[in-house]
Amino acid sequence: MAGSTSAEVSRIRVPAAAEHIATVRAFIGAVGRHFGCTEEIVDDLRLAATETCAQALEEGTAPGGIEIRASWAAGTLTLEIEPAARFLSSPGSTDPLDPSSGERRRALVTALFPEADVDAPDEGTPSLRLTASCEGPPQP
Amino acid sequence: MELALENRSHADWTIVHVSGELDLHTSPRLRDHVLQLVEDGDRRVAIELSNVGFMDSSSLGVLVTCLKRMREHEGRLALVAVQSTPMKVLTLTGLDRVFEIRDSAAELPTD
Repeated sequence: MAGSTSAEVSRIRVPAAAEHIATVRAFIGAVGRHFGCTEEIVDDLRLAATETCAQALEEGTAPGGIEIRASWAAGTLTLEIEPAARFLSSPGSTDPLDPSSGERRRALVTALFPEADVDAPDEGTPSLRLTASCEGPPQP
Repeated sequence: MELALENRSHADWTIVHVSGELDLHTSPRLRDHVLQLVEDGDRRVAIELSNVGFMDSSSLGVLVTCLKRMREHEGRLALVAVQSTPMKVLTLTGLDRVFEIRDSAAELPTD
């Protein structure tokens, strides 16, 4: 992750297994701090990514693994998680004790990132895109 | 980081000290641990989270399962020393209004 002012992409791919979600969090922590995000934003990104990965695993939509791509440009860090779980389109629940796991995850991700967006290309795998304002990588 | 669980006693409470991160992979261990306490007859269990810096919604599901099981036995389940990130998860899901949450074990009520 050498410093630069233009778009810079870091990525990681982990096997589709719950024990590897901690690796995703470590990756996001490292890139978030590298790109100058506040600790609160890093925490929010780690949580949203964890929820997305967990849901993808439970839905069985990530047999080939999960890829996380992080890029920064013009003051914005963009995190893409592929595959995107289907949970963003599920209906909500008003009972905090009895929602489905997907509903609870959707509530968290959309509360943390109201502009969370699923990019569903005609061909290929949908990905979830999260964006956050960050200062950017250190200047040389 | 591996999850560590340790039981301690405080008045008539059993306090489960948790260290590590709670997620889809690790939280089932906490569930099994607490449900075993309930099975063994504990009716006042507090989960101490001062060393838990991360908690996701899978963990909330585990905590809700433990709370429901404890209520079935007319017992009490409390959360103690919840740090900022886990508290945010509880607040955003509305579960901060469901759980008994204390700043420290010293604040747990005793009869």
